[in-house]
Amino acid sequence: MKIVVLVKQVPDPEARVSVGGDGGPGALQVEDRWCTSYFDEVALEAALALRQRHGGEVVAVTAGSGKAVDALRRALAFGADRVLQLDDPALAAADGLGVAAALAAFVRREQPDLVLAGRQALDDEAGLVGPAVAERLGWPHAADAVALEVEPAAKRARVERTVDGGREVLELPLPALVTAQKGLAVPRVPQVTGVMKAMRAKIDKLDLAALGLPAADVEPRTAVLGYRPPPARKPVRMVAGDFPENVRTLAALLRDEAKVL
Amino acid sequence: MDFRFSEEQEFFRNQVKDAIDRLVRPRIVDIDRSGDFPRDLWDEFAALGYLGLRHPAVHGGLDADTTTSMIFFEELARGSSGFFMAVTAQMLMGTYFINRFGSDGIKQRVLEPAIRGEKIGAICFTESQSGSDLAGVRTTATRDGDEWVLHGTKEWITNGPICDFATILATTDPKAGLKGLSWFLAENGTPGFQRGQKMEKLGTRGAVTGELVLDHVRVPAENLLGEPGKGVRYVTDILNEIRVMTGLAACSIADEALRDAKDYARRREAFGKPISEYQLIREKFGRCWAQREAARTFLYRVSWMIDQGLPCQREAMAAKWVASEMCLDAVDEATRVYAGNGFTPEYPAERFFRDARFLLSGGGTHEVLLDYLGRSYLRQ
Amino acid sequence: MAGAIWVVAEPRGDAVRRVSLEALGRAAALGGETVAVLLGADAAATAPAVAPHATRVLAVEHPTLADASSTAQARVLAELARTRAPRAILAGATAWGRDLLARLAARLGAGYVPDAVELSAGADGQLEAVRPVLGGRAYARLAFRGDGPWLVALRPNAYPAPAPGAAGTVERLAAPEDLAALPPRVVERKAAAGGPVDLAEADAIVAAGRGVRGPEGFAIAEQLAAALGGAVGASRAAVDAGWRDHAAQVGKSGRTVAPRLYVALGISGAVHHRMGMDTARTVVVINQDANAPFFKHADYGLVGDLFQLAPALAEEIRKLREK
Repeated sequence: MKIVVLVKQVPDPEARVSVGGDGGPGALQVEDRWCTSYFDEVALEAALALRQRHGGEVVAVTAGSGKAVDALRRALAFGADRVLQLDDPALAAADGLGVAAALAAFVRREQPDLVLAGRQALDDEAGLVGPAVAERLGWPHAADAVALEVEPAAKRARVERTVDGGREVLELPLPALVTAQKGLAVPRVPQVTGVMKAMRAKIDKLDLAALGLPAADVEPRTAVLGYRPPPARKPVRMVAGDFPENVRTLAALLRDEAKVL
Repeated sequence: MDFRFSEEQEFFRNQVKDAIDRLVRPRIVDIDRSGDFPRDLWDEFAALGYLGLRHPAVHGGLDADTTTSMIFFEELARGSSGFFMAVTAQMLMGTYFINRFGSDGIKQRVLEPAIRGEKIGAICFTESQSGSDLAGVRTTATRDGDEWVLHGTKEWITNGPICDFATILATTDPKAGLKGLSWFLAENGTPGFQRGQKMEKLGTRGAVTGELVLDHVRVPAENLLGEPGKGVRYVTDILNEIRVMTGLAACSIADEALRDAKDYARRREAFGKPISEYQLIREKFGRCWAQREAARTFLYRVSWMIDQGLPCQREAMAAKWVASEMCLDAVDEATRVYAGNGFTPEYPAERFFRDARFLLSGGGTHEVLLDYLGRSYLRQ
Repeated sequence: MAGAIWVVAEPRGDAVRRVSLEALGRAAALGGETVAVLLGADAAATAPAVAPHATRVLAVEHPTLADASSTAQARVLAELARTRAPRAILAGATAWGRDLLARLAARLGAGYVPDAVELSAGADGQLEAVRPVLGGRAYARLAFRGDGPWLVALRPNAYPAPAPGAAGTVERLAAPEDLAALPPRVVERKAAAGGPVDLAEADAIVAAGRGVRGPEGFAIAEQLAAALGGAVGASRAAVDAGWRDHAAQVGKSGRTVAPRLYVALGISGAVHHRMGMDTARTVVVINQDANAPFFKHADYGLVGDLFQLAPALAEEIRKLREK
């Protein structure tokens, strides 16, 4: 069985974020600390578990330049068989749809049985790329999977996924795309042999021309006009007083000041 | 000149950091409170293969260079200081002479399981009358036919109470002083090999420390590691690395203590504003950060010198001293930021304060280091 | 600018989710025609739930459409959108809405803003949306390129549900193609274990963390949530310790919520957690530790024993509500 996993390097959730002076499109400042998106690691781990069970190959792919490559090194450290970086100047400006177009073109070349991706990236939290890749390929997809069983011979997968208010079990024919929710697998702590191998690996790149994708296909459909800091909360009001007076005060504040009761 | 780490080194550092964050950090407080050696964590950690980082691939190691190892040690020290001590006592010190001088049989029997974490090692310098001054070693090794007989008591042995094997500094020629010292391998289970009780310690708790009694322990001739009488010379070959490693641990402890104090200073208010907005508090962070940067840059330069094969004994001593004093200052300032809260285990400041004290003796006392540095400066 | 704004309403029982009404209200405020789109076997039956908030209801009917995959639903919507050229298509930023709009965006090649907290029209009629990025630590303002339709998933509780107005006309349509064959197929549905109120749309959420000391400690959160008519959430620490199902986890690797009132019991307030709830309108933090970082990000703070304070607060709120 062949599985392609879509991975992304994102700013570390603990990286400092600030919005600079003019609040324009270049105003977002993010500290230079990165990690591989958590749900992508879950997807990768799930792919490796399927390989263990059914044999085959796990290929990790990312779209982007610079630090993006570390997501692929991470995938190698986990144990992916092969990694590819889709790197093209046109992709630098792309939005989620453009990235999905490039990834879908890659998947079409590889013809895997299954594509796994994180349910959303930790930075933009759009949840767009996975389903959009499936749509471009004309494949079915299941989002937010917490359990995944594959019958490679029957070309069929069974997915349990979270939905608002519960869970549902889906059946879908392969090839298909599945996005990983927390719980599908627990990402490993990679062994140092894998880390050293990944550290020294040469990462192959493909540009849009190699993918046979016109640059127009990755043109962004949205434009960032600017950034602003999150709305500031008023300074906290610490409710003083002894019990139970403090509880009464808080309840009164919630009713009369915050008006949320 | 290029002072940046390569992309590959940065990647390696991030992976180590991730491993420490996930495996070790959640255990820091428990390890410190109990003071027990966390064997389950050791096994989990050993399974990742890091214990073989510096050792040859033929024995299951990874052949990493000094700087890669130092990046690992620096990140390891961000977790539990006790666990750091236990790991480094094994992978840098306890297995060094075995890897360098051991026979194939010894390497298969001791080194390879040690790399896999199945056996725990210790290194034994210290005795009651011998710390930084190795001439005070009283443990003897006497040749008897095809065997050596080891006899004496080693003290302050990290991993001592739990070790499966130990490399032991003993004198083969008591009259020759420093030039009579030699290294031996002794293994637990050999008659006369007695592991002592775990001592109570102020800091680096979780690395269990105790005495090791060698009561006429008979070991085969091949357990003499290297040539007799050259023990001290061999030590100097590894001391540089031990000192850089200790210095980087100092940088990590300082960094963790400062980062933690920073978060506290930003949220703790006094007289109507966060204490981080007072000049006297800011001065602490400014000074400590500057000193830490200076120490760390110096340490990685020495690490680079080791990789280049350049002589760097004085530099290693100096860098270790600079980093340790910096750290002791930083953990002290961090507890001051916490004021009364720096005095209670409810907050981590006091743990950094306690842990940092080990830096004063590890790799030579500061008095000895400075005396040596001063002497060699004046001589030139 | 010409063109209607469509809101794809998410069915819930015989009615629709509240976020669908919130989106209709916002669409109406932006001017022009507001169209509620219903998908289902008997979609017109749900029309009364949305008609008072829309100028028109499009009830697209097909025996399997309600249970159909987002693949099938996106295909139906794309066909309709191509012939009728709406200016924008909105849905709630729920699992259902985001799944559908992501596929639809790819199918139409249309600009899409997931999880918007603001949607407004510029002077030229161009839509602009604002959405949190990087776990809510910055807000991005986005415009659309091209002719549209533009797609927006609107975060629940971003706008109030509108008051009902004159009922719009209802137009029934048959789905344009046979959809039954389009996978995936739902073979089983399981209701969530947890409170009766769903986290995504809850008005009030009471979340508990390490401070409640164990699974039994969640009783005080449940009690308070019941008094507020809200749902129960959990911190990562509590979920990882196995005290609560992952479905309740709020934060980076859990869910993002935006209730009117968020009460945190014994949660220290790590950035991972705050990423999931920073857009809550009013935040109350109750913690034993007066120096818990969460207080800095709260509107009201209360220091003391959770097991004393939370039940007393539940009681007090019940009394106030009865008055």
